Amino acid sequence: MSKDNNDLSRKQYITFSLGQERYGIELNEGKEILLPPEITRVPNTPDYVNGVINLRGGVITILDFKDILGIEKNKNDGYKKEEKRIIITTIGNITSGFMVDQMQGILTLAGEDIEKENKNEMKSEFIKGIYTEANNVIPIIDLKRLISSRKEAI
Amino acid sequence: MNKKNNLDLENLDEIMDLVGELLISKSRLETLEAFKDQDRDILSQLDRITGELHDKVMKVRMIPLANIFQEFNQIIKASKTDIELDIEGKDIEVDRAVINKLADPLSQFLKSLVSNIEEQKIQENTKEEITEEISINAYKTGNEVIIEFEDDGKMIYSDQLKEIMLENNILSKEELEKMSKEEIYNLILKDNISAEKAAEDAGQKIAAVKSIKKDIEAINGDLYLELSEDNNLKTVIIIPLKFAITEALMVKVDGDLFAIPLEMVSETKRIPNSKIKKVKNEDVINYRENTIPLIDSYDFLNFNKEVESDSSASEIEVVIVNTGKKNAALRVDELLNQQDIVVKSLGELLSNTKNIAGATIIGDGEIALIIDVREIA
Repeated sequence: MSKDNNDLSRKQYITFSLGQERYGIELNEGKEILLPPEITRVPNTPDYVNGVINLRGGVITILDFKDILGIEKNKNDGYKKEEKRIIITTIGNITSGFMVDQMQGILTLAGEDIEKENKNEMKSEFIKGIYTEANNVIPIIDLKRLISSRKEAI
Repeated sequence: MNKKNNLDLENLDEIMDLVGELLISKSRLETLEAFKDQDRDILSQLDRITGELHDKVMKVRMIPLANIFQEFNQIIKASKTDIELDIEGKDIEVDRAVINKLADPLSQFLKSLVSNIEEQKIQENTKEEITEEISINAYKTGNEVIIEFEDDGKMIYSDQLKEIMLENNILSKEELEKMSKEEIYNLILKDNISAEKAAEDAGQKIAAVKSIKKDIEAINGDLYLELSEDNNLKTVIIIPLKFAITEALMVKVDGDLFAIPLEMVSETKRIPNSKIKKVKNEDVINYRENTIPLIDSYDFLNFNKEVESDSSASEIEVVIVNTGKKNAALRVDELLNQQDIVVKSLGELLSNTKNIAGATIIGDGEIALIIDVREIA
C-alpha cells in the first residue's frame, strides 16, 4: 500500500488487543503507556471503573474498555499478566487510563482507509470507523465520545 | 482583582506536585533500615525543611475570600435601595485558582439578588424606609468551603412551584405530596424545568440561581437551596478545595486503607459484642446516653463481606463520626494512626462517587480513599 506522505489527512493510531479483537485509538490522544501499577478499587462506582492509580503524585482513574465496549471477558484469553498495559489518555481536561491486554503497534492511515459507513455494524456507539487490512478488522475507538458519556454516567 | 495575585498558577501547580513527591520520598527514606540511630537528626532536619516548604507553597496558593467580598460592598453602595450586607467568614482562605473562577459569578449573583430586591421595592411602591438585608456566611468543613447567601428579597413560593410542576406534567400530585418544601424548591435547579416563566415574580432570582449553579459545577462544586430559620430561601454553594491538607484518621477495611477527616470524627472506641443492640432490625449502640446507629463499613462501601472472618473476637472497633446533625458508629476492620493528608480530587469522572470525598497518597505511594460520612445515617 503506497501512501502519499504529504497527505494531510494521514493520522497515526495506537493499536492493541482486547480479548480476541484488535482496536485502535488516535496516537495523539495517548499520553503514555504504563506497566500496570497497583490499582486501588473505588467503591460505589460502575463495573467499568477499575479503580485509581498514583501517577507521579496524581490520582488517575482507570477504565475498562471491555466493559464499556461490551467485549466478552475471558479469564483464559491467552494473555500473560506481563503483557497488559495501561494507556494514559487526555481528552479535553480529563486524564484517564485504559487497561489493554497487549500492545500491537502503531499504524499510519489516511482518512479514506477508515470506513465510516459500516460502523453501525459494530455493537458499540463508541466506534468512529473501521480499518480493514487483509484478515484484520480494527475498529477505531471514539475516545471523545466515550469520555464525555462517562462524565455524565457517574 | 488585585494584580499581584495573578501569579502563574500553572507553575505553582507543578511546584505543588513536586513538593508532594518530595514529601513522599522523604517518608520512604524514613523507613529505610540503613538510617537508624546516628543518622536520625539528618532525617528530622529534612523532615522540618520539607514540612516548612510544603506549608509555604500551600500558603502562596491561598488567599482570603475578602478578595472577593471587597467588590460586594461596591455593589451594595451602587444600589439605590437601602440594603444592609452582612458578611461572615472573610478570613477563610481559598486556592487562588478557585478565587479567580468564583469572583465574577458570585458578584453577578449578588447583583441579581440586589436587583430582585430593587424591583420588589418598585412594585410594592412603599414609602416606608425599610432596610433590606442580604447576609453571606462562609465557613470551612474539611475539604470544602461553604458559602451561603440569604436575603429577604422576593420569595419563591413553593405552592406556585407545585402548580407549575402539575401543569406541565412534570410530577404527579402524589409525588409532590411526598416531597418536603425544600425538595420542591430544589426542583427549580433542574435543567428540564423552566420555572422562570411561570413564577413571574421571582423569575429573575431563579435564573440567577441556575446560572451560578453552572459556574459552580464547572469547578466541581455544588449548589442547593435551603429554607432558613426565618423561612427565607437560602442559596448554599459548596466549593471543593483542591489542595487542602487535613488531619485524618486512617482505618483499614477489607485490606484497603481509608482516611476519615478528623473534623468528622468524635472518637474511636472498642465495643464489646454484647453491647450491640437491635432496634427495628438495625444494629445500634449506646453512646453518651444516646442510641446511635452502628453501620458496617462493608455496607457503607458496598464491599462483599465474606463469612465473618473473626467471629471469635469479643470486641469490634468503631469510629464515632459526627455528620453535623447526628452521631453514628462506623465499624472498621482496624483503627490505625492519625496523620496529615493532602486531599486530592478523584478527578472529573469520579468526583460524584457516593460516600467517597477524594483520595490521598500516603508515604509509600499507596492511595487511600477519603471516606465521606455525611450520608451515613
